[in-house]
Amino acid sequence: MMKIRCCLNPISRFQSTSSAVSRSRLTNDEIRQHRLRIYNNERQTQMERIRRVEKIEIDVEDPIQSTKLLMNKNLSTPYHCAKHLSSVLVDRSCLALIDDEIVWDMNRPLERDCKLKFLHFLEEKCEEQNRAYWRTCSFIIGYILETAFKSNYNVELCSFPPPQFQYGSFAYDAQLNIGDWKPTRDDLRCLSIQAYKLRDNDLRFERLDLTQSVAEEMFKYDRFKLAQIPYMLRLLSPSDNQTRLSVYRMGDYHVDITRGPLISSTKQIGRFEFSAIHNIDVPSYNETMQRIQALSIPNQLHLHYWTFDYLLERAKKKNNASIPTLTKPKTSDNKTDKIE
Amino acid sequence: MNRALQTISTRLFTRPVLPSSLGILPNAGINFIPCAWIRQHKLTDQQMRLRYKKLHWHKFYNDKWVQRRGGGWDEKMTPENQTFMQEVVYETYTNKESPLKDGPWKHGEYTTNPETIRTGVLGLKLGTLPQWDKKGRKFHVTLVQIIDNHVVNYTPPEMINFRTLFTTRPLRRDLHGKVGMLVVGALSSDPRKFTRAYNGLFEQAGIPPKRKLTRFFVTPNSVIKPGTPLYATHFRCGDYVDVQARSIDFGFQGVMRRYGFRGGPSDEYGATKFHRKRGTVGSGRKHKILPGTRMPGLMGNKLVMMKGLKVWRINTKYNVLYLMGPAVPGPNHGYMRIQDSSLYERKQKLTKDNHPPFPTYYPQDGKILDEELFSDDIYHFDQPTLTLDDVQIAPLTTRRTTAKTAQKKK
Repeated sequence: MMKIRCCLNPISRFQSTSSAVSRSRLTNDEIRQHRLRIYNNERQTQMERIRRVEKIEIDVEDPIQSTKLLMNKNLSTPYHCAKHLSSVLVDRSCLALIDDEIVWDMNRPLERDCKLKFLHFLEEKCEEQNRAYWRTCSFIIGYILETAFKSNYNVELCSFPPPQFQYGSFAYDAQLNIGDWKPTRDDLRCLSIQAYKLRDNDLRFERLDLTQSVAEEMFKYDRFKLAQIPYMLRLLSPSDNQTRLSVYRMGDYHVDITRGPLISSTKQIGRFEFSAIHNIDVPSYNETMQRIQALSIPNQLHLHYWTFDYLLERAKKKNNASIPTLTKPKTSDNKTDKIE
Repeated sequence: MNRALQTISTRLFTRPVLPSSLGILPNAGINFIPCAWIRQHKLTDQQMRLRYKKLHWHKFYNDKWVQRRGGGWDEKMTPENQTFMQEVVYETYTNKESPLKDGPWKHGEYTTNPETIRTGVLGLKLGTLPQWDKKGRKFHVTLVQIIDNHVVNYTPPEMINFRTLFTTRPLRRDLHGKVGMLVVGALSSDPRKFTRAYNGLFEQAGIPPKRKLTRFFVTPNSVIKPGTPLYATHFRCGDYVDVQARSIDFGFQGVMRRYGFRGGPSDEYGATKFHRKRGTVGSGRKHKILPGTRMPGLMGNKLVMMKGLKVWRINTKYNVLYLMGPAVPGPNHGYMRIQDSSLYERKQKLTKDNHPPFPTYYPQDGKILDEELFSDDIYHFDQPTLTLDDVQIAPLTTRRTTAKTAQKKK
């Protein structure tokens, strides 16, 4: 089903500075490889900027053991700190807490002297971890949508709403270009199996901050993402003058735009089941897209299949989280955006 | 139970033949036919024990068929969530209608000529009580509760591999290809204690998952639709019943407790090292120990059948049967299979007009049963007391025995 996509939309609202290239002859796989290539190049250039290795002192506070570690600035991650301490911390910790305030990814390099704590799913207050987990799972839905369909179908990813537990599921909004497809229970099961394969591969989530030009080069073929880029740019660190966009890569497989922290690796996924696909009207892009919903629980939590099935029934209902919108760019430095 | 096969040969010689047992043989009317598979002599105890060794270890349900237990790990849920999930479990099974499309199955007809075998029932041994009959004599009675029984599944006779499945009773070759199999379950419980495969067995019938399952082999006319409950009134008061259960597990026991050997004298009589032993083990000039020789070993914990127990009384509110005798196999809170008796004399009395509820007892909307049902012979305490006039007293003077008179003559 080859559709010639004309990305120059008559509505001027989301016409970006560089015009999007038509993707009529490119498959989802090729587009994905292009994004990964640009990610690799950008990462290499950013690594080369580090001329010399500086040391920073990190104070690890853990109920098992608290130590002080000397790590490399802009190179070592909390994951490396955990490796110095114990394998239990490596396996179970999904996020890190810096100075008791800032939530940090496990695979993101540390920049200064700080106090470090490891967060896992079985603590008393685990709202941040749970939200990071569902954010990661939405990210994974995006990957599965791009890879699960046959090469003659073109799937265009749009974005995903921030994780909210009251709606019973997490979702990803995308233009599937399939027409009237009502997925059966077995189809959804096949999609879920893709997620379990990711768990076996143990892929890490790495973060990269891109400037506008690099981001636009990366998402050359994605018209929805291109439109979002101007609204997503923010000043991420005070030392930097340029507004940047945060982008995450899962292992060697997939790149996507998200703001918030993601969990440490795909090994921490427990049960993952796709629940339903609903149609939503998106006035910002003037299209009807599909919202793909799923339900998941981390590996650390054991639930009997009967209770999980009961939660799945709830997840099949339409998720009423926020629909993708393009808010007007504010002149101030802190820009509002709709993706977490 | 061990005498079952023995009685075939004696029956053929002495009593009029029940038509069903000779259905296969060509000359059906004649009593005695010299044929290869009819035994001319009785089997010894030892030989019977060896034959039924496999039958002793029959399990009501084997985990190799479908893995039963699941869950049981510490799900770290908040107490509010736990109570909520409990309520969800109750709600799913209270108002459940049968999901099957078709209506109730047709009830079969009770026939004596081609023999009809009804389902049995899974019960729980509660304990013993004394009861009194109308002559004032006391006897003991075992209470058996028929907890939450439902029929789970039915397989027709064509789909049954008879030799591998029919392991609960001595093999009746004449039933091959003529009996279907009903699966009956007892004690509904939480689906979160079992695996998904085990819970799936009950989904088609629309029942909550059961803790205990057995099979009953049944003639096709006494088929029951999966999902129907079975009550204690499946039997009538005054009916006779066979009970199969696992006997009490005594563990590894010596020969005196296990077989009732007399052992040896105590130390007082100078016995050296022979107090509770077996003694010799050999058998004449044979250079081997005969298979089936009685020695110390595991005692109990094997399937035992008691035949011909009378149902004296039924409690319909709690579904309890009062069965004759205190010696029903198994400890308290042990499960047992209860079926109509297969004894010849008891089966003879069942006719087309006089038979237990067939295929099972279905409660009718208008009719409510009394809470307690009594058989004719039992004395219940609502009745006026028994007086001595009712009871016969033996005369005080007895006739002298011949030995005493002989002495007196001398």
